[in-house]
Amino acid sequence: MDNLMIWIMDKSTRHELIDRYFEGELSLDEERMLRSELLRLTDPDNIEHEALAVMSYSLLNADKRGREEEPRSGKDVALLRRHRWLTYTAAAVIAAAVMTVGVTFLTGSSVRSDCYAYIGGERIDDRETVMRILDSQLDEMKEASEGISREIESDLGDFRDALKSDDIMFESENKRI
Amino acid sequence: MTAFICVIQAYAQNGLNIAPFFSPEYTARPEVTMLSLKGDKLHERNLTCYRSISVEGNPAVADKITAAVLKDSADARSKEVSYKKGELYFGFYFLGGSDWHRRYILYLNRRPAGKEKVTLIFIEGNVGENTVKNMIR
Repeated sequence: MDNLMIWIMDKSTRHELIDRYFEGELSLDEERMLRSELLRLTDPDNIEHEALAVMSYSLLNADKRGREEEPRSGKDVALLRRHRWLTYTAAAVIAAAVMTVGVTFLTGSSVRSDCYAYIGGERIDDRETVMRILDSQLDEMKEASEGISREIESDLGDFRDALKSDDIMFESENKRI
Repeated sequence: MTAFICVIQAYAQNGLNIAPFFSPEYTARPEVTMLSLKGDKLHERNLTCYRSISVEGNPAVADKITAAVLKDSADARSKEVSYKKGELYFGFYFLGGSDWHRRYILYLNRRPAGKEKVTLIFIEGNVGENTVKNMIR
């Protein structure tokens, strides 16, 4: 499969990708994917926060050098990591401002939520709308389930009526009851 | 063609035949409604993943979904199903798993009731069968 979709990335996978980023092992596409994922987080841990700060700082520097939104490659970052204290200092100084700018640069819109819907091909990120659709789907399932329960009850009722009938003859080892 | 890394949360729809129906191939269609939820909103309900797709007015896609559900449910640990007019009408399937990785499929096909609409729901979380059934009862 050539074209794959980003689904949910758990924390261990994110950290693994971050490690590979700092080792210079990610391609530019993989870096973009990781950056998008980190920007999506509402509560990043320290490692994720550091990685995003460095990535955003790299992106900002790339723009200053006049390149088209092309961040420093992972291999360059690997060199930076060898002078880790310099990286930390730079990231700490500009991290807050860069992240705010980085969101606008990288997404061009508001951060996407972790609850979304597609309706007729259009993405909906409004949580209330999504939850409303979810509730209506469960209501439809509920209605079907209740309908089945009623049918079962009706069938069992037919059996009960048949068993009450005086015409029924039971055959058993004790013969006719 | 640009390749993206596909990273799937462990145990989600991984390996299931229903997984492709939550991809852009289907979410871009006008007759499709797809939901994807994760995070705090689900965690409150002991869930880690809720995905659903509804298809209205497209019997071809509906039949594909039905076929995928039947494949995935073949080895279900438990199931409650109902057929009407020779078609699968309703299905509740517990696919297995433990702790936070218990997986369920809910399926509803309204075609036997005269409406061309199929809904598929995939749920994963630390919930028992009765808890999931209570969501729809």
